[in-house]
Amino acid sequence: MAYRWARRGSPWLIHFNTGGCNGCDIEFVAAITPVYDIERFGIQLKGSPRHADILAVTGPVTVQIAERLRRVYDQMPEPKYVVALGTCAVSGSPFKDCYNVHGGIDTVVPVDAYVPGCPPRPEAMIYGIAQLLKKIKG
Amino acid sequence: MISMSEVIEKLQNHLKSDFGEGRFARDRRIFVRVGAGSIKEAFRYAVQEMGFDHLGTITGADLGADLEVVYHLVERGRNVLSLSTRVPKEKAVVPDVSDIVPSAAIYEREVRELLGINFEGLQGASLLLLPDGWPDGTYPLRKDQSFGMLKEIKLKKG
Amino acid sequence: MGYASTIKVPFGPQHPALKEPEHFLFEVDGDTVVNVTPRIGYVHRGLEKGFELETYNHGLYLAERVCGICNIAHTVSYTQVVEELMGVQIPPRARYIRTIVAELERLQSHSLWVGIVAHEAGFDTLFMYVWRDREAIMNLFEELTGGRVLHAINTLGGVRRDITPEWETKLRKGMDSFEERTKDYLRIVNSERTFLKRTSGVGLLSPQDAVKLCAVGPTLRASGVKEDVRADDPYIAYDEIPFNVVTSESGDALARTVVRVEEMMESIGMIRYALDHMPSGTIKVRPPKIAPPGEVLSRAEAPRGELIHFGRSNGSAKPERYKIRSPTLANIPALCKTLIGVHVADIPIILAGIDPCFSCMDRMAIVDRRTGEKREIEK
Repeated sequence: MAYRWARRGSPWLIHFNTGGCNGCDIEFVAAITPVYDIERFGIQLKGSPRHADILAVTGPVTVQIAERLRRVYDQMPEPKYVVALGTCAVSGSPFKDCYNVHGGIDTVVPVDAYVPGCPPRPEAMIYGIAQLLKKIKG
Repeated sequence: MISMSEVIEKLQNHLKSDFGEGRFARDRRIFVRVGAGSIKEAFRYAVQEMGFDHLGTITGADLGADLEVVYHLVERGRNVLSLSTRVPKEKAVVPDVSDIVPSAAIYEREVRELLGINFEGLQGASLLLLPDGWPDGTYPLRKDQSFGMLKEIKLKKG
Repeated sequence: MGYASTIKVPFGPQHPALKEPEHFLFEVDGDTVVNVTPRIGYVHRGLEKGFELETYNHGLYLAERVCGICNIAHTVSYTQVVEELMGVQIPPRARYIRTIVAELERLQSHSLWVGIVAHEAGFDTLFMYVWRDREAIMNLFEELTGGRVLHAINTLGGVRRDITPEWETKLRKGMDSFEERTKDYLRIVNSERTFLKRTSGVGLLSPQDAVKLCAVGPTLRASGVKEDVRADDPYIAYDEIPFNVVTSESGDALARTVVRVEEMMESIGMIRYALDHMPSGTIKVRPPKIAPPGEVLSRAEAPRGELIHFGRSNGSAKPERYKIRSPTLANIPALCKTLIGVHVADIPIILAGIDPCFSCMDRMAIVDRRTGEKREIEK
């Protein structure tokens, strides 16, 4: 119970783009900036998967990157959570049928929260992550 | 400063019989087709002697029986010349032009991977655009590659 | 030559400096880069095939999602190609609205970039300030088009929404305050000593190399070459709006920053001029469903440089072939040239210098393999 409280209090995030158009990525970076300020939830952006609790993924998974996504996920210590940001990460569309795209990220890693939108607003991303934190709290 | 029709005329005079056709549908856009045997000379002439020294990109296309290569050359500040040639699918070979314009290598490699045109003399044989392990001989942009077929490859790899 | 003692440092596809996945294999001798091997294709989605399978209207959605940051440049180019194939002339008011939105996008993209480069240089305060000010532009976009990032305002035959007098007032006010902030940024990047230390003289690209390697955009202009598609090959309303092509002589990372900030000042002026001279009338004409056989090449000046769209029609409702060459791909050879001989710590700034947009690049990407080496890196 105590560690669940601690986990929820300062989740560290790592961001990974699996082949998206960047729309979600720039809205995600905007979420860190003063107007939306995700840091007030204790969330910090980390550079290495080994330091992170939550993996925030954007983009439809291209064939080339699928293995790397899995590897990044595997490098994260338990307990770990995954957030799919954007319609591409959720389901892959509109590229779902393209020859180099697998689809949503749940084809490669288990997902805990889905944030749809093309791209989702920074507020939507923050809401999605807050829902995930609620879920962690149990 | 030469006009668009003069550009076509000069190419025609330089290549003589191997010149196919030239036209322009609007200002600053010239389209010229030449025989495959003279494409490298046409390219060199346009780049080194007519001032079209900025290579925009190289497009490849599947025309059915033939494959086509189009070199988009820009005369800085003025016209765009799209210089094309066609080769039969069974013998899709075109000379490499990266000794004249180094950037051509990037665009040629893309065309080679996606359409299977062989650029003779191009360095570096490995597959670097499509994902590692993509099957040899499968060229996604060819018309005979349907999405269904490509999906099979995708699923097998994933 | 000491190559036996070089170390190979893989950079990406997951890396804090990279917002997009790409891989660069750096060979370093001590702290100096002696060779770089890019491995791209991580964002390759197979879009060009996608265009062939759907109608021209559907292709508009694909074109927009080639890149979130320069989506307007892509839709402007796409609509230009298809409209020319179909023989459609858009109304003058639509051309001006497209121009205003395109220049707003340039402001948004360049300010995004200034923030990112400041972040790479360790100047996080500037990053936060710039992105806060950038929100004003995002709000303007959202009010006009309904979307902050992907706008969908360009459509075949014109634009989807018109500029209202209320929005015009907001835009003018927004430009006034943004101009003040941009003047501040110009002063900061030109005088802030730590920033200068990190960018001045870093990643030098001579004008001869820039021209020989066919670089485009601010990367080319920062090396002193005065070329800009908006001036050389005008499209939409650029032939009627006066502006200066900004260049710099030093060819380093600082020059690339200054060129972009000064371009932001130019864009603000262009937006004001377009508003002052806005033609009245309709904003859209109805395009046909079918394009007669033909081929069209369209060039645009995306925030990152020259963007080329080449389309062919075959008399049906779907394109025969559609090709996109984005500016980042054209800058890769120049990028590799500027990365040789630099310190490892300067790599993120130089990479950021070309304003890489790998999603634009990969939809059809290739690697410049002058060394002929292929490396299996992640294995």
